[in-house]
Amino acid sequence: MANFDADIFFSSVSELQAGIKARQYSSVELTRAFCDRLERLGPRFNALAVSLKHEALRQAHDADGDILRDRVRSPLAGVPYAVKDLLAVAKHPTTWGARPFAGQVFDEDAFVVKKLARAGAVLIGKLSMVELAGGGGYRFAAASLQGPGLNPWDTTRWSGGSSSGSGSAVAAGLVPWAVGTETSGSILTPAAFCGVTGLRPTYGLVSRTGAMALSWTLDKIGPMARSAEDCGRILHVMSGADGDDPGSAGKRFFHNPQFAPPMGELRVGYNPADFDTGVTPEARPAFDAALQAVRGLGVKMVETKLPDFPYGAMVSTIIAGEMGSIFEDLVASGDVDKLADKRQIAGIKMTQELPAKDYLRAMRLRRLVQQAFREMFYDIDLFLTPARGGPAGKISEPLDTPGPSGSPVIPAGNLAGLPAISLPCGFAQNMPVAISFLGPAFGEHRLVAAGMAFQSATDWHKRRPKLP
Amino acid sequence: MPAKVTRRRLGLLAAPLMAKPVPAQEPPAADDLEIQRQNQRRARESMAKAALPRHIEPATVFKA
Repeated sequence: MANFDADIFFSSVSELQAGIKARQYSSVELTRAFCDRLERLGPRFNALAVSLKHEALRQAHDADGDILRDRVRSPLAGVPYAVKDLLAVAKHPTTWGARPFAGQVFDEDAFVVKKLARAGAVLIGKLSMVELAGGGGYRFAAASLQGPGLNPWDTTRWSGGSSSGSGSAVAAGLVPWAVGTETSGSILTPAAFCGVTGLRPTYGLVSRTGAMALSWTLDKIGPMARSAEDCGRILHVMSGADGDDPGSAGKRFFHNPQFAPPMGELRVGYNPADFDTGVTPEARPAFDAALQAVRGLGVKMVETKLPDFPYGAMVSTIIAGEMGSIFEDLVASGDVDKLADKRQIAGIKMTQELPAKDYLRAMRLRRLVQQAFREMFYDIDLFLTPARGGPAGKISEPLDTPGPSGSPVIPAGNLAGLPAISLPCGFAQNMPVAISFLGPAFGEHRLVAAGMAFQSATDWHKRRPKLP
Repeated sequence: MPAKVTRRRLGLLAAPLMAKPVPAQEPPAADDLEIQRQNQRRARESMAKAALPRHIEPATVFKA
């Protein structure tokens, strides 16, 4: 039986698989260690929705058999992971973080879960989330069936949403990586607040079959992990066409860092105001240093601005229009009142009153947004911003507490369907803060390359919280 | 032959590991509804200020 020290729980996907291949430990031993840790520490952060230890050990046994025969199915084979409870896992509860769906059980795994199983990845649990991925607009971090996501860096602070459990579980070393989802900020925000690396892929690159629909126009699925390189390896496996997802782009991502563009050839756009008035005063030194570190990579920095559109209004209107249809029965039945957050309940009820002309105006403006971003990426290769304007707030604070105006890059990038990566870049108030690169459609190779270069020059992504 | 339905297959053994559910709340107060109504109104006003030529069609729902 292998003895694991704490380092193993903070190892990269490639390091963990290398240990299995070198017979330092088996996938079963590794899986058991992660399962025990997830069950023991997950509830401390309100991160665990469902443990899947029994099934995980069976998957790990199969992976060990493959590896013994020198048949390594993928870069993720034998390595444990967990999914946000927004994705279906057959015969187990899939609650969407919401009390009205606490008893929901599906017969079939989500497409991504099946794909990862075929690749030999070992699913050890389902992770908590903001109820219904936050649709309708919530006011408190406690808007979740499992309670507020607690940040491993300081459990009085929020882990972010809506992929709350995915962020805190990766940060606390409860899983090597996790699946998150984003409609508008739900991967990038918890990744930034928890000090992990999160990659939101281009719309349509990862299938959403078997995932809760919040907004057909905006929903995306992506990895949250220890590094940009891990995100690249994971996306290589997760991405791909799916005929059952009408949004599937029919494309996949190949992680080939040897063909990454040289940093000297990259033009990185940024708006200096985003790093000044767009961040909290406590976080400014960390963001200033991050800006210098990006310059130090040898890229060409280009001052620019995002196109001017009412991004926040458009996102909230599109989500309201689509969610209002998707959850019409939840409102009609009155079960919506079982949700935890009163403001969110009110917001979901209000979706039923949204005029069609408002939704259509937002969708028509979205066409102009997409055109404007295509033009912006003629002149630059990536756009750099703070991922969030500061560190995570206290869980007791209302989320509508005014803060720095910040860059609207999260709703903007989601409206345009563009990929982005969040990279830890320092600390403020002893909490992680992060930068984010936004790329053109299907430009994930640039994001991963820039992320790997940044993480070669810095070690913020290797910092670990002191666990309680 | 269909698989035997057991507590484990239904995930019931996993259920104790789920954290305590948050108790049901009272329906939202009138001010929550009013705030959300105001939010919707502000969003409408904000979008109305953006120039939108008449010929622009809605973006395709399913493509980036």
